[in-house]
Amino acid sequence: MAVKNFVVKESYNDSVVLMNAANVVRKKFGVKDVSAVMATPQNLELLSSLGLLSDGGKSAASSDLIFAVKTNDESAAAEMFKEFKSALAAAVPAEKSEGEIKNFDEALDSDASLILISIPGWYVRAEAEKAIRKGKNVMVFSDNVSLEDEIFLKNLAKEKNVLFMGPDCGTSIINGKGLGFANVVRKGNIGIVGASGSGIQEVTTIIHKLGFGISQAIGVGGRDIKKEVGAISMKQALDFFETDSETEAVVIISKPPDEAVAAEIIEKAKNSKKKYVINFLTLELKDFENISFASTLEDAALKACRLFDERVEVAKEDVNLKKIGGKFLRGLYSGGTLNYEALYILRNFEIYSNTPIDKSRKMKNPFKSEGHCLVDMGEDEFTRGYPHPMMDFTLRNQRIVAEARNPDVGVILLDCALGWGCHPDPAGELAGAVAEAKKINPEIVFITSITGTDADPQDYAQQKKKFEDTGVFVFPTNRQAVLAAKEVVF
Amino acid sequence: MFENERIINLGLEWFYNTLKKQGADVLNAKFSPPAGGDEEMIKTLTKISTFSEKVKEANDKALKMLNESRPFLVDVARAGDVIPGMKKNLILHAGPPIEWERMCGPVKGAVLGALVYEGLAKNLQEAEKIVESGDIEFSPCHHHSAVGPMAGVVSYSMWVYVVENKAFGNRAFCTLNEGLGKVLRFGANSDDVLKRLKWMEEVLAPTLSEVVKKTEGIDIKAITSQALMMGDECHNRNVAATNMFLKELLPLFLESAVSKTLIKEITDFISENPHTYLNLSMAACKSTADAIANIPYCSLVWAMARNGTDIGIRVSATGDEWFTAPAGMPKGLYFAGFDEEDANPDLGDSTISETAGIGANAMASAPAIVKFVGGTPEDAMRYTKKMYEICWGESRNFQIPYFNFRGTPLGFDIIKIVAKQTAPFINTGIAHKEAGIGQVGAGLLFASMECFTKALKKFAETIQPGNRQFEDKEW
Repeated sequence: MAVKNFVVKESYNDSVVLMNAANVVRKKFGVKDVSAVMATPQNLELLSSLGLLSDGGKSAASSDLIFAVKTNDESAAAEMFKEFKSALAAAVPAEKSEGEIKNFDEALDSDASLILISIPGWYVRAEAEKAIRKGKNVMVFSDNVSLEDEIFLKNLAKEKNVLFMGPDCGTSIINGKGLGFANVVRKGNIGIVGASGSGIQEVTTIIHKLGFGISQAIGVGGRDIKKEVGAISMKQALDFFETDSETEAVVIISKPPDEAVAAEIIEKAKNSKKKYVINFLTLELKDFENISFASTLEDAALKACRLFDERVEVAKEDVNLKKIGGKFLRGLYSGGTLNYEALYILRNFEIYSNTPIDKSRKMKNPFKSEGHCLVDMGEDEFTRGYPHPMMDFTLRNQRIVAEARNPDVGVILLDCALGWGCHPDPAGELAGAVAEAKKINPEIVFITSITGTDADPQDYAQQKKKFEDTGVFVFPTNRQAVLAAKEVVF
Repeated sequence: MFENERIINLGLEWFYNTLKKQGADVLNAKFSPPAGGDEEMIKTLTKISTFSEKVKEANDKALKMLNESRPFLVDVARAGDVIPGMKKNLILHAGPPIEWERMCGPVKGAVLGALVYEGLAKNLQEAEKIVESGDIEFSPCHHHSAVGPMAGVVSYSMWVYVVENKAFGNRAFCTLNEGLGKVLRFGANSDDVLKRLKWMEEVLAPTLSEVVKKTEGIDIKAITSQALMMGDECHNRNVAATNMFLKELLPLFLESAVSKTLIKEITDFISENPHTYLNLSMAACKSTADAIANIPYCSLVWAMARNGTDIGIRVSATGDEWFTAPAGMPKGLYFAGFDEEDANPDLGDSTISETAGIGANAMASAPAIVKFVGGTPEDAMRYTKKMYEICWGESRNFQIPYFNFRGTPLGFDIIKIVAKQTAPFINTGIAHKEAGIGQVGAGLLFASMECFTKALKKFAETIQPGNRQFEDKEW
């Protein structure tokens, strides 16, 4: 096999665009070893580790694009490159009317109040700084923003009295518009502050299903609650809700903060005129006058709604599941917080993960399942080279089929996020892989939750039906899906 | 906190489309990596960004000074009498410093011509021997508050415009324009070239001096502003400005004792040379740009010049230091009988025009210029528009009718230039690469990014805290 690199000089393209174009080539030619990246030092290293870097690629500059293939056939490589270029051209509209695409600096001079940034992480600081200095609120979807940059930007935002959401923040809902991955939920009186995307999605959709709505949902990024950052953004968000007349109750969702940070947040909540529901996942504390602590995301949503109507109940899915002993549970998650919640609910069992609560249960290799394990496939190791699993199902579907080949696997636990930004037909994508897996091993039990509402663009009912038609057990919340899986395996 | 609902999407098209589908009021902004993705430069830019408020303050101040500058022609005088540091054996040249061996053909040609003109050598061969003996000193015009178009050669006996920036009191100097084609500034040095220079020294300049002295100065900024309204950009197109200058001079001549014959001779010379105004404008631009030298934290360019071998820039905060790179090759239109094989790399101090906000920065005012330098009128608009992206602000005085009288882009900012990987645009005359031939065409090019990259590195070092020399400076 020979490695061939094609270099396109001075051609910046976003990684998602490049990956999609490379995917077109993979599918059309049925080859695996195809990659298209910008020739940054990190990407060159990545290509080299994949054995896809040739001398031609080594000399490329950061602003150049490399298309790399491994093949025996020189002319096939050229064909693939040709296909790649046409796929890329199709993805990037040649010429936009001037009104539509603007130079960022010019756009910043407009009266826009919010900037959504999804560029590679190491470029975020400069662009976000410009936006903050112009008095704009910023949401950073990108990951790979350094902690130092995050602290700098959050302090600057605080100084300029604007809100900084993110980085690595999947979800916010501002003025009813979903940013990143966000569901269509009713407008209402509950404000949400969350450290991560899937947690916000889960809580907002359950609130919607319970007949209530949200004022704003503010995603502050997973590191905000670390002591180095000191919850700068979360505290700003709480201040915002304190004076926001639409918001009557505030729900906080995050992994357990560092001790001092948690104390500070709780102190702030105690002094607030609003009611609070806090879900720090593994950190459950005693309720206080205006603060209730919730043990799960479902519980957080329920407690928030019960502040206004004590009678509400989360719908239960009655499913008759048979117990299978001696088999393994495998969770393949696209939502990081849902995966973490599952680990917490199942904390009494020996379960491995790439993001374990108990460090001693860290998987040796996230690409290779061991024992009972729950894998967060939205983690960096899976998104290097692929878009987020809520957008692209390539890796998750491959993994579903791979798990089915192991006769020791009894249950595969999934999640499925609907909403803006997510794949237009996630259940359809997953159902295809499930059907293939069932051909290999018809005994495997498939369980999933759907994080979505009846107002989401994907059509909740139809998505649910696609699962049920393939024999997947569907639950309305992650908690219920996890408990069902527990019943079957343990 | 979220006063209005307009959102800007920077990054994935996917999210833009998603927001559109939700009916959001969303603008899609184009992202290109800063500094072309060069990691070292991104780090440098990040380092600089921690001082961005000080930089902003300094650049705002510099921009204000550029706008407040009031260049007036106050005298025409002999270089040896007015240029600081001028000596009989000193030859000034365009661009950053350069030694004789590395000088390009046209500069060498102009230097030799100047030595014969000064009577320091009987002929060009002897002139060359004198240079090689080491008796002649060279120095950039820019080191003497002066500028010169193309080769930019200034010698002791040549007369220069004396322009005073009345807002800040500094003066700048530039020789008088000889015309087009076979002229010293393009490296020509034949007898008729030298004869014309003599006439300028003995007749033209002293007469101008006599009448200009009687005024309180001629407002050059006013002429340039007006000329931009009349289709000039005052670098390579000076038709309207030259006529206006003549209009200023005529009453002065008529009120003076200058003979009618002489007035006719001088007005003919000026009328036949639509570039007359260029040198005057350059002196005005130099007196303007010099005002912003040495402002701590200021990232604006105060000199950009080429010597036909190198291009160099000076940045306000880094003071007198030049940052150089090999001079580029313009793409251009050539006079009959010449082509790009004959062209010398980019040459001259005339990019002081762009430094002060005219020239290519005002090309959109002068669409007719493309007939001289190449391209289409749309290009002229585009080039000027592009310069807004790398300039700190806009001129209050120079306006572009086609852009609804928006001020021209003013104040090249090396931070923006490196971040956006967009260098200043230059329109320029093209000299023959060999000495003695002269102008062969005119063309367009972008300044080399390399000198801005070098300058930015030094700038980042200079503004670091603990840099004492810097902190102690009061301004």
